[in-house]
Amino acid sequence: MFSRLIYRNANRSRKENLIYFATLVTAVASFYIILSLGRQDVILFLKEFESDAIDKLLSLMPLVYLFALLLLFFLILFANQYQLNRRSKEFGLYLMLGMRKERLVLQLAAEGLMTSIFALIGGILIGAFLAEIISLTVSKLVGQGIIGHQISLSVSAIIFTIIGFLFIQLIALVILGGRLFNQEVHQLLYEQMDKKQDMGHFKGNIIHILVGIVLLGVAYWIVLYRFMDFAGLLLFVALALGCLGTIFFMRGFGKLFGLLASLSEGKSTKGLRTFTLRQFQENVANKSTSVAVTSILITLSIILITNGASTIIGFDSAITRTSSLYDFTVHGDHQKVEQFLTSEKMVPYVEDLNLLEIGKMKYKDEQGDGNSPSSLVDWSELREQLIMALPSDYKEQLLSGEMQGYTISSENHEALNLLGVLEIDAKAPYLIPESSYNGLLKAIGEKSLNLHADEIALYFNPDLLHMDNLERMPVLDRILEKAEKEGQSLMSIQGQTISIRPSTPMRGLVADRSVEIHSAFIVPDPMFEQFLNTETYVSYWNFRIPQKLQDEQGLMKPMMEARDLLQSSGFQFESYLQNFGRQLFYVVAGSYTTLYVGFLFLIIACTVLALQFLTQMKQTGQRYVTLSMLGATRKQMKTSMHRQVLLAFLLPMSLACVSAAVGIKAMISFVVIRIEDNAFLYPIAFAFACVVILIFVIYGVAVSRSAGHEIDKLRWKPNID
Amino acid sequence: MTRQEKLLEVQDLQKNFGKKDNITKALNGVSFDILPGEFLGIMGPSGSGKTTLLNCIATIIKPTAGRVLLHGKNISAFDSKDLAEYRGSRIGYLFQDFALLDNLTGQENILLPLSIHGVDFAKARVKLDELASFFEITDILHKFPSQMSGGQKQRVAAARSLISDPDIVLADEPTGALDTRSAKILMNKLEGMNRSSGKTILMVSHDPNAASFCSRILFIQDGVIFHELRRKQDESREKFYDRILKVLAQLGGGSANVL
Repeated sequence: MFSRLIYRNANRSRKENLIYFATLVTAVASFYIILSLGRQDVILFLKEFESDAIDKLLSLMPLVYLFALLLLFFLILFANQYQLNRRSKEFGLYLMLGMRKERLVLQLAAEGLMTSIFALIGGILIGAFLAEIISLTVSKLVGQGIIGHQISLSVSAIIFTIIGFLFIQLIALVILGGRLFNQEVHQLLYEQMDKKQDMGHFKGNIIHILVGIVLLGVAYWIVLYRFMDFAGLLLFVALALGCLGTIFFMRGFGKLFGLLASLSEGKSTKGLRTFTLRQFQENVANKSTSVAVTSILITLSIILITNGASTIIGFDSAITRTSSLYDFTVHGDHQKVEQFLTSEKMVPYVEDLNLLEIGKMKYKDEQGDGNSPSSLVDWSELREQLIMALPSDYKEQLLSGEMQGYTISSENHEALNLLGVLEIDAKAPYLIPESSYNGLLKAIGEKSLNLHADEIALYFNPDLLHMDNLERMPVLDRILEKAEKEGQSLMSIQGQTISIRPSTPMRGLVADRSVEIHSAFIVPDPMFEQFLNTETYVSYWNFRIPQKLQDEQGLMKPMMEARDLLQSSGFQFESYLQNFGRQLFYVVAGSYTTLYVGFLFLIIACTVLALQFLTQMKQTGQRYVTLSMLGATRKQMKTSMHRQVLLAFLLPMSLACVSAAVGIKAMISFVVIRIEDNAFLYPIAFAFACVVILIFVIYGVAVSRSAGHEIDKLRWKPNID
Repeated sequence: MTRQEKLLEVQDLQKNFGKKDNITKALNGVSFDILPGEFLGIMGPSGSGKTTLLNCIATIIKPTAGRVLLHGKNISAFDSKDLAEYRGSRIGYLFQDFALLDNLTGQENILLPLSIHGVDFAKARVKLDELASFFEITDILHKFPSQMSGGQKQRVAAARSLISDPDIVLADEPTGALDTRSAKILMNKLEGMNRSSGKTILMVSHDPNAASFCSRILFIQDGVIFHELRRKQDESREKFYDRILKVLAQLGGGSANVL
């Protein structure tokens, strides 16, 4: 009998209170998703290249899990409280019928367990499904078809999900059960929302709202203009001020809203307008803090989701191979490597095989006399031209000697970057023989350089210099072309005047990172022999996967096969896969956690808003009965209720949108997130905005339906004579 | 009976609760008329069916058989749309528990029936002021129910029941939740409203004190009208009260118990 009651009650609470049950399921699903991260295709794939970084990332996951556990604990607590409030009358009745409180609490625990088991089953199924979808989408989206798919079901994730969920359910029930234990039967039987209509003083409300606006204003100001001061510590101040400001704003707003309601009553008495406004006011004024908290949560979630989304958008530009050309770079003994790469088993994978030789230039006086050795290169003319090309404020700073060092950045003027690079490199520049670079040019279908004996070309690393256009460097080319036309010489090496070839296409010299240079001189082969400092000489064999093979099998499959062959050969090598893997890792690490926490915040905020609304609805159900007695139709009441839902969701949402917009603006201008204009920007931004709005709409509709259900259930119960 | 037009006619009203084998006949053929300007009381012991009767008239429940005619129209057969039009505009309600919305101010509560029925506030301004001063609630119009006393609440509720100038006010134990003093004030006001502007009131009560303000009282027991008292012209309230008590004694301790 007892167990049947438990079973029935658990069933009932699932059916009657879909939002409560959905909250539990969501909690379980989100636990599972975070815990099963290690089984995601992308992560499994990355483990092969960046196992250290991935291990670090995965070791962070327990922290995220604990964080999620804490957040969801409050959610569960709130949901359970709502559920128990709904049933307080029933509990009172049990106690009246002689059930002991211990037994009641025990029964609640048993019911909680039942519900939890169902929630766990549902949640793990949904979580596994979602994890599977995420895994597939991500590997399709960023994996370019290389990442094989594996079923991501993880037993340990399931176990920890169960443990974590039951743990927070237990704590929530202990807390709430304890509270129930201490309540009097009368309280349970006749619990009502008999709060006083605390309208506060008019002045106090104005002050609240003003304080709120000022605090928010200061927070916005800090975020927009003082973002990086004091090593970003001000950011926390801004966050605190923003939170406080939101709370004050909501508190003042809720009460001032009553003023609006009373102002409107004189003008129009159409329908249930006043009632709608008052209901909304009550909802906000009595729960201003939690409305403020949901607003803050929505703000954070929008910012986090934008951040995560922008990482994904950025990934697309990171992996487009604008500057990177070669798929493999093999390092090792010249002849042996060449032999291996031209061997029968490797040949299908090799195209555009090219030997890259590189080394530094000698100094004028190798022996030196204690001072630093002097350079063979005199580029003062070029330097002057570059300085002339600088924007005027930099020019002044530089000429007055104010400027001490250079930073190379995509924000800088091109001439400034060139100047910075050459100041450092030109003393003993890297030399690349023309023949090496011609091989590279051939691979991209460009003409050979055919340098004259006294001619060189300048090479700048497009990855490090953040070049927009790989074929031209506008400022440099203008200077060089002008010099060529006027027969002016910009540089001399060992006293010999040298002309510089403009418009050299730039590409990555190797597949990944083994050559990390900013600049080099591409010189005729005899000049390479002449000026090379032999101690610094290195050579690499670069090659690409044949285009035909790529067309047939995609890039990644042959690349993996070639990689396996190279691995067995024992040569040192690097491949574009590492580059790809590293970029992918940044994306995964950056986007997974932020998106996860972002959506978690959003769901929590929505659930709190939903439950709060339904609680109010339940507690004020009698009002709707009165309304219907006074002649209001169900349609009128439902319209009023829909408006209330809309207002209840829109108020925290609108403030959150403003705050989030400020936050995102600041993050863009301080390049915490980079929004690059590429083909993916709009679809992805649009998709995420849609998902966020969809979540809101789903919650709004769910709340409206539950509330509509409550209105339908209203029956005038005649008093007993 | 004078040849006046009948405001409300209750014709052989029956209401059964329960199904088949377990039927309770709450009303078992009740018939009476109400003339315009009457202040009719309905009294009876618990379970006599008096609230069921009121609820049938109030269109809150549908009778099993019989008709309730308001101005000759059978309101007990109305569908919910017609009912919504009647409620709050043609019929005013006064409840034992006031049924004020506690998140609306007094004025908003009073005006609620008008806004539900889409009546322009400007037209109601005069009526509102009139009612407020009559019920002595002008000072508390902008207060919330939680800031009012029980008596004030019920007077606000009374003003609400009258704001749309209904044909009849139905009052269900309006003094049930009030102390004697507040109850007396309220009844004086209702009586005054009945006398001065001829408002028709139908009140259910088992408080003989409140009932003594009525002009006519129907006594109900076991779902049928059992007795009727009519206040004579110039009869003092005290005398009428004594007569009510006698009937009640008969009802409760007299023949009913013997039977």
